[in-house]
This record gives sequence, structure tokens and C-alpha cells, in this order.
Amino acid sequence: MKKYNVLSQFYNKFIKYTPAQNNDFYLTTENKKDIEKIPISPANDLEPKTISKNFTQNLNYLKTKYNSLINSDVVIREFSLIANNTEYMAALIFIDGMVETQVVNNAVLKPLMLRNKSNTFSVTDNEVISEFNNNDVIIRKIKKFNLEKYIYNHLIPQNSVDLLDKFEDVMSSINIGNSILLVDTLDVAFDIDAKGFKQRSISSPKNEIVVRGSQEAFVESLRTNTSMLRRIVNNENLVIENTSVGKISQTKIAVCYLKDIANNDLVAEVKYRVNNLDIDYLTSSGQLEQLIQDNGSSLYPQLIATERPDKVAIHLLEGRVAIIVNDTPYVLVAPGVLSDFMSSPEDANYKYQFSNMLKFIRLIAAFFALYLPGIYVAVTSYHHELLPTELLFTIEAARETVPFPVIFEILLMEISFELIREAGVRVPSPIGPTIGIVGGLILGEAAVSANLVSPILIIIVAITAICSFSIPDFSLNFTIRIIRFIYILLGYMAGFLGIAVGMFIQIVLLCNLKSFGCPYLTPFIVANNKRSLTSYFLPPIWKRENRSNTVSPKKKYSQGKISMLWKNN
Amino acid sequence: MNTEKIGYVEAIALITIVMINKIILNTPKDIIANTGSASWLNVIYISVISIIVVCFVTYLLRRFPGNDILDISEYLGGKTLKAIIGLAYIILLLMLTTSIIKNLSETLRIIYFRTSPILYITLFFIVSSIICNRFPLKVIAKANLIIAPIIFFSVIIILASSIKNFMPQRIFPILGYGVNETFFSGLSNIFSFSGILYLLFLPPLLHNPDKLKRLSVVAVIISAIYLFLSVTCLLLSLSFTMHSDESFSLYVLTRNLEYGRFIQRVDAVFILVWIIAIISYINIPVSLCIYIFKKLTNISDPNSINYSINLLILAVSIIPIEYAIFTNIVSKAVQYSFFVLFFLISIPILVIANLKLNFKNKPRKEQYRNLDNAQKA
Amino acid sequence: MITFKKIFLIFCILIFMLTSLSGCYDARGIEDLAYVTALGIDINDDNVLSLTFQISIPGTSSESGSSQSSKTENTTVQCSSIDSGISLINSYISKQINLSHCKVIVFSEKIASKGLNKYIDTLSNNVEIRPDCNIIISRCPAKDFIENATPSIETLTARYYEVALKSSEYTGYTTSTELATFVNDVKNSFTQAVAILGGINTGDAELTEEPYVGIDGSYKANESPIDDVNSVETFGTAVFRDDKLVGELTGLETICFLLIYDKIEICTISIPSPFKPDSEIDLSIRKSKQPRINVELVNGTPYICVNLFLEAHGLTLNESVDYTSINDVGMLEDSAEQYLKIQITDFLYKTSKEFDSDICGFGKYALSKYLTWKDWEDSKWTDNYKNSFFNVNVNVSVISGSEFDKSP
Repeated sequence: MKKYNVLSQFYNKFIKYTPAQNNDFYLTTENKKDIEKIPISPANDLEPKTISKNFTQNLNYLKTKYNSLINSDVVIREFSLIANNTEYMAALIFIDGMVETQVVNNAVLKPLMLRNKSNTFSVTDNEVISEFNNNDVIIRKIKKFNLEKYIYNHLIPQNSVDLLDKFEDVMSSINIGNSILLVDTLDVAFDIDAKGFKQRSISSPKNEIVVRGSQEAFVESLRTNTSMLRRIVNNENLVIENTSVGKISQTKIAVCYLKDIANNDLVAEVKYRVNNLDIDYLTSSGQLEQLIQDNGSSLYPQLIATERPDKVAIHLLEGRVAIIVNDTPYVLVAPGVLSDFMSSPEDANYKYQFSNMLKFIRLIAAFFALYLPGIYVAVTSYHHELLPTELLFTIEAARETVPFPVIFEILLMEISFELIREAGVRVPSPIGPTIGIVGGLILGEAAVSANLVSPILIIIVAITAICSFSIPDFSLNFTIRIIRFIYILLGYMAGFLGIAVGMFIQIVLLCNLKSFGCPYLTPFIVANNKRSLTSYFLPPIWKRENRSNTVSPKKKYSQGKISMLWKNN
Repeated sequence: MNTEKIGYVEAIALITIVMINKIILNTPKDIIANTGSASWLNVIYISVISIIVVCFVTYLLRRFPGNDILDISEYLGGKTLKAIIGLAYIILLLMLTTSIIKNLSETLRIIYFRTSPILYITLFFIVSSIICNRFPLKVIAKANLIIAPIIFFSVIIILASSIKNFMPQRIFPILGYGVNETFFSGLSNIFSFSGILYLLFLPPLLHNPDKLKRLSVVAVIISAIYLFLSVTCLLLSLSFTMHSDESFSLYVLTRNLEYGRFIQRVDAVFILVWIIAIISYINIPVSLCIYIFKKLTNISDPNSINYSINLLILAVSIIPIEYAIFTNIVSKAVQYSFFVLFFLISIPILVIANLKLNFKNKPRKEQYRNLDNAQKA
Repeated sequence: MITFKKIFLIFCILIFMLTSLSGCYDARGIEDLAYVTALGIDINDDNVLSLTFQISIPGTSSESGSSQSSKTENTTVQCSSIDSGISLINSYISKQINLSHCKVIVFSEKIASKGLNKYIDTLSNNVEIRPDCNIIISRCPAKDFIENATPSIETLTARYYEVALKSSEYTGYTTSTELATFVNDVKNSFTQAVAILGGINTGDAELTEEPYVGIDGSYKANESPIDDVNSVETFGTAVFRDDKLVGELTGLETICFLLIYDKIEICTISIPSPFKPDSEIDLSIRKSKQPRINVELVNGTPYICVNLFLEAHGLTLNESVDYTSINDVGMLEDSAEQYLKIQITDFLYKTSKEFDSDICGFGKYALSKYLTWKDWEDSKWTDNYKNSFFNVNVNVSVISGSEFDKSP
């Protein structure tokens, strides 16, 4: 390592190598490029790729790779294994803290190390498979004693055991918490699944709160999440395929779909996108969403991200594909169209009249959250004749003492509201929500009495904020917050002309957007979603015969023509 | 660029939007100024004529499935005829768009933007046109489909709310200015159905081109109904001697809209809806110009033409001519050129092409008649 | 192409910044404008216009209670035309004048008799003025009318105008004329225009005409017996021929006009009682069917038949009236029909002979007799109207009394 010194950069050019003087870690500017070029995975041809029959070589290789002298939690337990009355050298490698020690002790080490019926059984005779007598010459087909099969079949009473022969697979198994058993004279390694790390238990969802649905939410562990899905879908056709993304982190992700309902092309497209990512690491499903979405420059979310298993299950049963990322409690569902982001997870739980009323209110709320400040600015600056006379005088009286023009006022209030919102996220939780409300109220009151803003404006900003909270999806909320500012500026620039131009461009951009091949504005402009769950206003439950045609599922009908047989039979 | 095709309903919305926008802007006032109190008769008359023309045109187009007028003119006269026709249509469409943008900008300037320069207002339309024409025609047709019902609805609201101002006796005297004016010189009012020129370009863009006839007849009927309703409402609410160059025809009706004491002077809301309508209308001719240009010259990226055409429209529409003279002269010029191009050039081309096809097929038909019969049996 | 895109983007951002941060061209905040609620137009002998503006002063929200338009200020300017008057006022007042909330336009009698064509053309060409603001012709100078127009029961001036001028819906003593209809009627050749008649209450009830019976309704503005000095009143109608004021109608005659024109909702009239001489019975009448009007041309002169169908509820309750007996009701109906017939015929002959102005719009019924517009213009209806004959039939059916059917 060369010493890095800003003043003597030019001096370093002439010095090839000096040993580090005080064991500190230095990085030179010159060698940065070389270091960046060093590939992460071993491209060195001298390194072994597959497990060889030489036990010591395998073990030493793994020890070097895992830096076992330095790493404190990589445990390498060497012992001697007894099989067929012979002793073999063996080693068990695992990471402490990620395995269940009881299981490893009882189910792996005990039967291998202690003498018992299985490992003292000695097969001296070779097993005869078949015999053939030909001219007094007996030709026998015998099976030699196979240590690998013997250990696999008899000596490891553990429910999930795999055979691996590549070092890459071995290392990735150790990394996720499995234990690896190496045996002398065998060129395979046994991959034993005895994971037992601590994780968060299933709790109620934090951000998608419903009144009448189930109160379970996803957790970080992939296996627990898939188990929750399996419990709800309850069908053998649910396929959960595992892949890994990221060259360094090799994060495990699972692609789930129902084999006899989901469209083959959709599944293939999802898998194609997921498997063709050239990134170093993947830590969350949010990152994955940005990597596989159709149009990255659009403001709208194109994949549904949810932490509720019942919502994902309904989508799977309607023919969509779910992507679960390890260590993230948010699961992605592809494709996502606009009406999905405006529906709450429990719209199907209520009677259709209640759901439709709520959907209608949400539509009004979205409209107000987007357009109300812009329209206020446009009307008070350009179109005064639109207001009834008395309202006009009220507003004028309120604005008489305010020193700022409308645009400055409204931008001031909107930005301070966004600041309060952002601050409220980080305040420690007992007083978190209160700070938001108190801050808003007091700030607004004080600003009005100091005659900095007019009271009408406070009402408008408050209504806008409440309406934007009614939108069920978190990403769409952000979209609306950003677009609202654009409309305020447009409204001030040219009144209703600016707002009309903005509306039209927004509609065209929405029409152009597609999520995994499904048009984004699906139930609003294409009339092929009648009588299904994903049309915007739900029909009564006995009318929802069709599966939504957006994703072109294989099974078109989800209910019979008469679903309530008790009534009409 | 046009990787996807337009569906049935979208095409209807496309053509109707063209005609409805004309209704909003200035067609009723022209009709009423021409024919007085017999305007409703005139409208029925020209609607029937345009339906006949449309049926005739689609019949002629049916012999060439999936081909539009450019392909047919290439079949007839080679590349030169195709170039001439394409260029003529591009110029006509550009003139139409320019006149509409200028009309609208001047109107808005009078009503709302007294002190702004004309460039500022026109720039809004041009910028939106530039942004929206980067996308293929299918996307514009979809956006149209969303906007069309809103516009229809708004026009119906206006017409229904002006019922209280009706005086049914205003349709008398029945023949207005006379039989001659109503039926013969009134034929020039067929310019209000100028949307039928888009029919000539529609066949290759449709999902199923054999529905072209139904589609066009439905579109013409819907626009005819709207034209009839708006002309009648305008006629019955206001004395027709008063129609002397108001800016927006239907705007006059909205100024009288009143429900109780709270909802008064809501014309600003209607202007909002109509600006959206007109922006969506402006995109259609520009998109068609780009399409024709691409067909003529086979360029790979139509996006570059997008900027040029829009800037050309901007440049022409801010030429400082007196606005009132502009509307009179240029709109008359546009009317006559539409007449000439559509009726005197395009339809004869179609007819001659059909005859040529017949003539070409005839000897072959004689020769293989037995074979055809054998195949049929 | 990348550099071109960058340049284009920078250009757009520059324009955007210039326009949005420099205080956009036409954005005028609400507080920058002065809103006119009433406009008065008058002329003096030298043909100089005198415009009066009534501007409402907004309160501030820090005052207790009144935050709306309770205070007004009146300004008058002498000028040669309306638009030049507006610019003169603009230079004097601190804020810019905005006419989009103007509720009332007041013309004085003087200017109306000289001809209003010029002024109403200017007004209807103005983008800001609402076409539904009311037109009042005042018998006193416009300036006095506006200065005295202060609300007594309302606190808000604008609402006062809106409400006060709708009284015709339930009394019938005046019409409600909007700018759009007024302009329409002036330009038409088959009907003539009317306008609301207004004046100041002077406190003495002098009548310009002898009433037929009773003393109610036979007034015009300026003469009513209401005792509220120095406030304005609207009573009666002003009659125009083309664009000049030719006469005025009293309240009762306005009721006749509205009955024929079919604009009445409900009104109260007093008819002479058939049971007791020298006393009246009050009826509240409304129409039961559309009036049937027939116009025939007999030898070039118009012969007009008017058939009215009314239904009435009796409001007077005294011992002589019994709304349940067929006899009484019959006598009542006869008396009402007789009374109304005389009033309406008098009114029609007054419009024809004295005013020579077809305000009831009989011309539009005559219009259907002609085939082309040229024929209509050749017939010269407006000049022919004074030769017309009228035949009026009124059909009244008294349905019942109000709460009781006979006096207990």
C-alpha cells in the first residue's frame, strides 16, 4: 500500500512500493483505477472452481476465502466422520448467529460423530444388482459402496439437504445461513439448511391500515413471507421461483405467480427483467422497482408496493406476478395501473355500495389535491368574474392587509407544510403526529394574526393536505405533491390557459405510459374491464364474473354465471 | 412510429373532435350570417349531403383496402402525383392549424390577457403541441377519447341551459333570405364538415379497415346533430341580425348562463374545457402532417420534423396582420382550398383509380372466369 | 442532437424564469382592483356625458364583523364617451376599475329620450360587463339615484341589488330587464324594449293619472305612497321605441304587460267587489295556461286577438264572500274578467296609439305569415302597429280562498 499524501502526489509517481509504516489502511490516487478494475468474483484462473477430492485443498481454499483467521463468526468445525466402519475426515462450516445450534448439534453432528446403528453398519459385501449365467460363467452386476449416497441417505437426518459441487454455490449457501459439510474423498459438499437467525415477528401493517381486513404484514425474511402467501392462496399451482440479484450481495428474490392463471408472456417478461441486471448490490424492493419499471423518467409509480399479504394474494389470483425481495417487508406486484393505486386493500371486503362511495370520495380528493391551489391562484389572478360577488369581497377583505402577492403566499404555505410533514416523520414517535397537527395549526394561526397570509389560504392549504392524505398509495401521494406545484406555477403564469395546457399534457403522458405492457389508464378508457374486480367502480359481487382483461389471464371467468346458487337454484 | 392501430371508438372520437371544435369556434356564426333564420334547414340539408359524400368516398376507398389517398395516388400517377397530393394536404392542414391558433390566441387576448404579447399566448399552444407530438397517433387518439365526452357534455349543458332564453318565433320567416341563399349559395357551409378529409388518411391506421364506412357515417351524424343543436340554440336565443363577428360562437351563450345567484358568469370554466378541446384538436393535423411527410420521404425519426412544423406554425401565426381582416380573407381562402382539394382533386383521383382498377381487372376476369367458377364450386 | 436538446432546454428554462418571476403580464390580484357595483349614465344639455360609479369599499378582516361590502363610495366624472370616462376615473382612483361585478346600469330619462344605441353598443362590447346586469331608467338624475341607493335591511350592497330587482317575480309592478334582453329587443324589428323604471322616494304621493279604482298600483316610481324619504324605489316600466324612451307605464299597466308577455309568476290585484259597492276584493292570480295570441292582417292592418287564462285565489275574507257557492264565485269571476279586460284593452291601445311601440312582441306572431326576410322588412310592422285593433278575452277561474273558504 502506498502512502497517500496530497502534497507529495507527484513524488508518488516515482515510488513503486513502500511497506505501510504504521499498519494503517491507505489508498493512493494512482492505484484507484487499478483497484476499481479488480473484479469482485474470482476471475483468476488459478483458483479452483469445483470441489476436488482433496479435502485439505478444499478446506484451505474456503478458509482463505472466508478469512477465517480474521473473521470472528465463521466457524469451521473439523471432526472425523464414521461411515461403513471407516473414519473419514470431515468439516462443518457455518456462520455463527445464522444457524440454529440445537438443530446442527442434534441433527448433523450427533449422527455423524457418535457411534450409532447407521454408521457402524458395515457393508462388506457388495450389493448384487443382477446376475447372468452364460456358459457357466457368472456375470454379476454389483454396486460398489458409495459413500456419498450412503451419507446422504442414512447419516444426515435433516429435512433439507442438497449436494453442491461448485465453490460459488457453496459460498453463497454459507452466506445465507446454511451449513456446509465437507468430507474427505468426496467431490461434493452437503448443503444443510438449519437456519435460525433472529428476525422480527409478524405484526400489524404500519402504513396500510384497514378497518376490516387481516392485520398481518410482511416481514423481512423471504421464507416467512412466502409462507404467508402460501397460506392464503392455498393452491398447488402457486409457483415461487428463486433467483438472486446483485453481484456482490447476491440478494435472494422470489418471483411468484399462479401457473394456470398468469399469462406466460408476463411471467417471462418479469423474469427476463429481473435476471438481466448488472448491479453490485440490491438492498431493498424500492431499488428493484426503479430498476425494472418501464419508464424511469415518469413521475407515476408503475409497480404496486405493498406490505399486506392479502392484497398480494388477491392480485396473484387475478393473474399478476409478485416479486419478493429478501430483507424488505414491501412486496412488488407487476403490473400496476392507475386504478390500483387509487384502491384501498379492503374495497372488496365491504358491500359494493360503501366501496363505491369511498372510491368516489377518493376521486374527488385526488382532484382537489391536484388542482385546488392552482385553480385558486388562477381565479384570483385572472378570472375574477367567476366568483360570486360576496365571496369576492370576503377574499378581498382578507387579502387587503397581506403584503405579498398570491403566488408568494401560496408557495410559502405549501413549502412550509411540506417541511412540517417531513419533520413529522423523524420526530420520536410519542409526539410525532401531534407535532404535525400542532405545528400546522399554530403556524397557520400565527401567520394569520401577523397578517402574513390570508385566512382563506390557510383553509385551502389545509383542504389540500387532507385530500392528499386520503390517497391510499404512498408513491402516488408523492406524484400528486410534485405535480401540484407545477399547476400552481402554470396557474399564475396564464390562468386557466396554463392549467388547461398542463391538464392536457398530463393526460397525454398518462396515455403513453405502459406498465409491463398494460396501458396505464386501463379501466378509464378501455371498456374491457366490465364486471371485474379491477374496474374502478365495483359492480356487485355477484356480477364480478370476469377476471380483469388487462393482464390477459388464462382463465377468463372467476365466477360462474350465477354465483349464488343458494338463491337462484 | 405508428406501431399500433387506432380502434373503432377512438377513430370516431378523432373525427368528431375535429368538427366539434369548429362548432365551438366560428361555424355557427358563419352559417347564421349566411342564411339567416333558415339556418336549421340549411344544416339539415348539408348534413344529408355530407353523409352521401362520405358514403361515396368510403365506397371508393373500399376497393383499396388498407390504402389511403397517398397510396392510391401513387398507384395512379406514380411518385410525382403522390408528392403533389401530399404536399397540397400538408399546406392545407398547416393553414387550418395556423388560422385556428391565431383565432384562439387573439380571442383569449381580448377576453383575458389584455397586456400580454401575442407570442406568450401562442407559445403555450405550440409547446404543448411539440410535447404531445413526440408520441404516436395512437396516444393522441387515446387522449382524445378521454376528452371527447367531457366536451360533448359541456356543449350539451350550455345548450340545455339556454332554453329559458328561447323564443320559438325566431325561426320565422321560414325561408330566411330566400330559397337561393338557403340551398344553393348556402352549400358553401359544407366547410363545417371539413373533418371528412381525415377519412382519406384513415384506412391504414385502423384496426379493421372494413368498418370505415360505419365509423365515418356515425361520426358525421354525431357532428351533424351537434351542429344542428348549436345553430338552433343560437338562432332561437339571439336575434340573428346581431351576429356580426363575435369571437367565440358558443361563448356568447355561456355569458348568459345563470343558476340562481351563486353560479353566474361561469364562462371561464367552459373556456377551460374548450382550450383543452382545441389543444387536442391542434395535435391531430400536426400529427397527420408528420405522418404524410414520413410517408413521402421515409425519414427514420419523425421527431425532427415535429420541431420544424411546430415552429413554422408559430412563425406564421404571429405575423402581425390585422386580426379581423385575417379571419375574413384567410378563412375564406382556407374554405375554398378545402373545397378544391377535396371535391375537385381527391374525389376524381379516387374515381379514376377505381376505373383503372376495373379496367385492369376486366380482361383477367374474362380469362379466369371458368377457374373462378370451378373454385367456387 | 444532444447539444441541440440542451440548448433548447436552457432556452425554455430561461423563458420560464423570465415570465414567472417577473410578475406575469396580466395577473392582477383581487386587491388591486376596485369593483363597481352600480354605474350611472346621464347627459346634460351640452351633450356631455356624466358617469357615476358606485365602488364598494371592502372592510378588512381585522374589523369585528363586517368584512364585506357594506360601505360604498360614489364618484362622478364628465366625459364624452363611456370608455374615456372609465380611463379618466382610473387615473383618479388608486385601484383599477373592474366592471365584472356591476349589477345595475342606470340611465336617466334625459339620456334615454335622446337615444341609447351608442351606449348599449359600447356596453355590450365591453368584455367585463355581465350580460345579466339590470337596466334601470330613473326619473331623476342618475347621480341622485345611485347616491340614494343604500340598503336598509341588508348589510351587503351587492346582494341588495340582486334581491331588490327581483321583486317583480312576486309583485308584478315592474319588470326585470337584463342587458342582453334589452339589447336584443332594441335591435329586433318585431318587438320593442322595456326597462325598469326607478326614482327616488320624495315623500309625497302625487298621481299623474286618475286611478280606476283604489289607489294601489297606479303609480310610477317617484310617486309611491311609501314613506321612506331619500331611498330609491323601482316601480313601473319605461317603454322604448327603437332606442328612444317614449313613455312610462304605471304599476298596474305593467301587470297587464306581464300577463300578456307571460312573465308573471304571481301577483296581487284588487278588483271591485260585486257584492258590496265601493269596496275591493283582493285576488292573487297566476296563469293557468299559456296565453293564446293570434295576429291577422286584415286589409293591411293588424287585428290582434289576445286570450288569457288565469286562476285566482281569493285573499279577502269578509262576510259577504263565500268561495264555496257557485253563485258567488261566478259573480266574482265575471267582475274580475271585466275589470282585467278593461285594463288590458286600455293598456294595449295606449301602447299602440300613444307610444306606437310594440312592446308585447306581437310582431313575432306576425312573422310566421311571411316567407322570406325581405317580405317581412317590406311589410314595415313597426310603422303599421299603430293601426292595429285589439280583441281581449280574459278567463279567470277562482279556485278557492286562501286558508278559509268563507268567513267563520
